[in-house]
Amino acid sequence: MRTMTTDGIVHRRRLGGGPARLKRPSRQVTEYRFARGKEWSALRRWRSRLIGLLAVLGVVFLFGAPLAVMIATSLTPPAEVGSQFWPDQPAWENYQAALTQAPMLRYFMNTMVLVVLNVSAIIVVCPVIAYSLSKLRWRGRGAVLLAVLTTMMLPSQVTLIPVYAMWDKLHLVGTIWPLVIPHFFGYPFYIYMLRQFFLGIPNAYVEAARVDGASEWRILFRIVIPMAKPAIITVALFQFVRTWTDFMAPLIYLQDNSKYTLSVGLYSFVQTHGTDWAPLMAACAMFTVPTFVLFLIGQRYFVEGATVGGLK
Amino acid sequence: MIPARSRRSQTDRPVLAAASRRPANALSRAELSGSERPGDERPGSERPGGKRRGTGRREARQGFIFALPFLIGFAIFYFVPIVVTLYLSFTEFNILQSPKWIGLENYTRAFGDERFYKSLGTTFYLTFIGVPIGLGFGLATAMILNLRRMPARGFARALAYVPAIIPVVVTAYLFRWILNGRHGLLNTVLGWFGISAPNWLLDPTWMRPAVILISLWAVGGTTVIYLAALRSVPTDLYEAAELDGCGPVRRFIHVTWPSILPVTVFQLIVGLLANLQAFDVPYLLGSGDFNMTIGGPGETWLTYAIYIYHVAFGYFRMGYAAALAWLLFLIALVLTVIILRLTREVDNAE
Repeated sequence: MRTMTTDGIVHRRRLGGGPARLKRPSRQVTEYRFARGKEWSALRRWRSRLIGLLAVLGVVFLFGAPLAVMIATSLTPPAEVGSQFWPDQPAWENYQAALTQAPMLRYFMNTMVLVVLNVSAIIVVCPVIAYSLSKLRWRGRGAVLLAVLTTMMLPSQVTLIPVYAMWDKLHLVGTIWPLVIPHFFGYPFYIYMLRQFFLGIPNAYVEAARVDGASEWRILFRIVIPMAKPAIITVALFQFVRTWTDFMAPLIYLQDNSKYTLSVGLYSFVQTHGTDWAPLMAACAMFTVPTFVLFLIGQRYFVEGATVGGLK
Repeated sequence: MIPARSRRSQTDRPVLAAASRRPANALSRAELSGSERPGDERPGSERPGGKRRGTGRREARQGFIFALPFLIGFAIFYFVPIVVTLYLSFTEFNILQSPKWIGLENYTRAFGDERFYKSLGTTFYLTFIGVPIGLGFGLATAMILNLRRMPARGFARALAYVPAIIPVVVTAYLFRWILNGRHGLLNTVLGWFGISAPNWLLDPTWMRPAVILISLWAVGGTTVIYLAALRSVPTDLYEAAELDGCGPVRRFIHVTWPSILPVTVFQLIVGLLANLQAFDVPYLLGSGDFNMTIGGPGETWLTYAIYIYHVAFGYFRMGYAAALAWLLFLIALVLTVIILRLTREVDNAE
C-alpha cells in the first residue's frame, strides 16, 4: 500500500504551493485512484514503455555512436576511410600498423609502471591521513581538513612553476619521478572521500579496540581498512584512471620518447606523423580498452565513488 | 505499511552510503573547527579525568603523525609554491638564471597583452556557457536514465558513464575525426536531414561550441551524481504532488529542483573551477599535424591555461607565467566567494 494518507500539512509546506489548491489527501482519493480501472493503467504503462524505449535509444546513440565510429574506423582499410562508415570486411591491418609505427608496447609499459607506483602509493598513504582526520581527535585537525578542501579547489597552474623549478633543481625533469613522488603525500580528493567513508564507521569498533589496548596503527589496518574496502577499491580505480588518462603532467615532465606514456606518446605520434585516421583510431581503441575492462569489473565502485564526490 | 522507497532493490543503494547519507553541505563550520566541538563523533567521551588526559595527548600525537604525509606534501607542493608564485610574478625568471625583481611589470604587461584578453575570453566562454549547458545536459540524461520503465537501463547507464573515463587524448582525436568537416560522422548525419553543417574545427564561430559539444559527451560524472540525487528524493513527495494535480513540469519545479539544488550548486562550483583550468581538449584539438601552432585557426582554442603553459614552457618566461597564474588564482577565489554568497542568500530567502 502506498503512503499517501499522511497528513497534508507536511506536503503543503514542502511543495510550496498555495494551500487552497491542495486537497487534503484522504482515504477516498486513494480508493478513487485504485478504482480508476485497469484499462487506464494499461494505457499508461504502454505509453511509459514507449517513452522508455525511445529514451534508451537516444542515450545509446548519443553516447555510443562516437565509440562505434572509433571501432568502425579502426577496422576500415585506410583507403576507404571516409567513403563508408562500416567496413564490409574488418581490416586488422590498422592495429598492426599502429603497433609497428609507434612503440605502443613501450608506452604501455611506461604507463603501467606509473599506474602501479601511483595506485599503491595512494592506497597506502591516503587511508592513514583520512584516519587521522576522522577517528583521531587532535588540535589542528579542523585546520588540516580545511587545507585538504582548499587544495582540492586550487587551480594547478598556481603551483606549476615553482614545482617545476624544484624538480628542475633536483635534476628530475625528464624522469618519471615528478609524476610519482607527489602521490606519496596523499591526494586531497581521495583523503576527503575516505574520510567521509570512515566517518560512517561506528566509533564503537574503534573504541572497543582501544580499550583492548590496540595501537592506532593496528586499529587502522585491522579494523577500519577492512571495513572500508569498497571505498579503498574506489580510490584505487579512480587513481588508475587518473594516471592512465593524465595528459598535462606527462606533457610537461617527460621529454624523452622512450619514457612517454600512452597519452603523450599518442600525441607526439600525431604531431610527427599527422592524422592518418584508420591507424590512429586503432591506437585509440587499444588505449581505451583497459579503461573499458576496468570499468566493467568495477562499475559499481566507479559510480559510487562519483556519487561521494558530488554529495559532500 | 511499507514505505514506497523500499521497493528499490538493495543493489541500487550506494555502498558508500555513509557519505551520501549526509545531507549536502554537511561539512559545517563546527566540523572544521576541529576537536573542540562538544559532543564530537565519540559518544562515550566522558571518561574519568586523569586517564583521559593521557590518552588525549597520545591521540593528539598520533593524529599529527598520521596526518604528517599530507602536511609535508601540502607544504612542498601547495603552500610554498603559492607563495613562490606570488614572488616570481614580480620577477623576470627563465629557470636557468636566478629571478630578477622587476616589480609590477608583469602585471602591466598582462593588461596590455592581446593574447591575455583573448585566452581569458575563451576560458570564460567555456566556463560560463559550457558549465551550465553541461549541468543541464547531465541532469536531462540522468532524468532519462531514471525513468521507471526503461529497457536495458543498466546498459544505458554504463554507456553514458564510459566516455567520462576514456583517456582525454582519445576523446580529442576521436572528435577531431567525428567533427571533421568533410567525412566526419556528425556532418554526415546532419546532411541526411538536409542541414548543411559548419566546419566545426576550422570555422572560428563554431570552434568553441565544438569544445562544449565534446564536453557534453564526457558528461557521465555529472550524470551519475544527478542520478544519485534524483533517487534520494522521497517518492512520497512525488505521489503527493501527483495527487494534488501537478503535472510533470510542476512536479519538477516544486519537488525535483528544490531537492537537487544543493547538488547543483556543488557541481557548479566544481565545474566552474575545473573549466577555468581547461587545457587538454582545446590543446589537443589545436595542436596541428606537423606544426606547433597553439589554439588552432585564429587561436580560437587558446585558453588561459594553454597560454600560461605556452608562456612558461614555450617562451620560458616563467615570471610572466607566474603573474598570469596568480591572476587565475584571484579569479577562482572571487568566483567561489560569489557563488557561496549567492547560495547563502538563496538559502536565507527560502
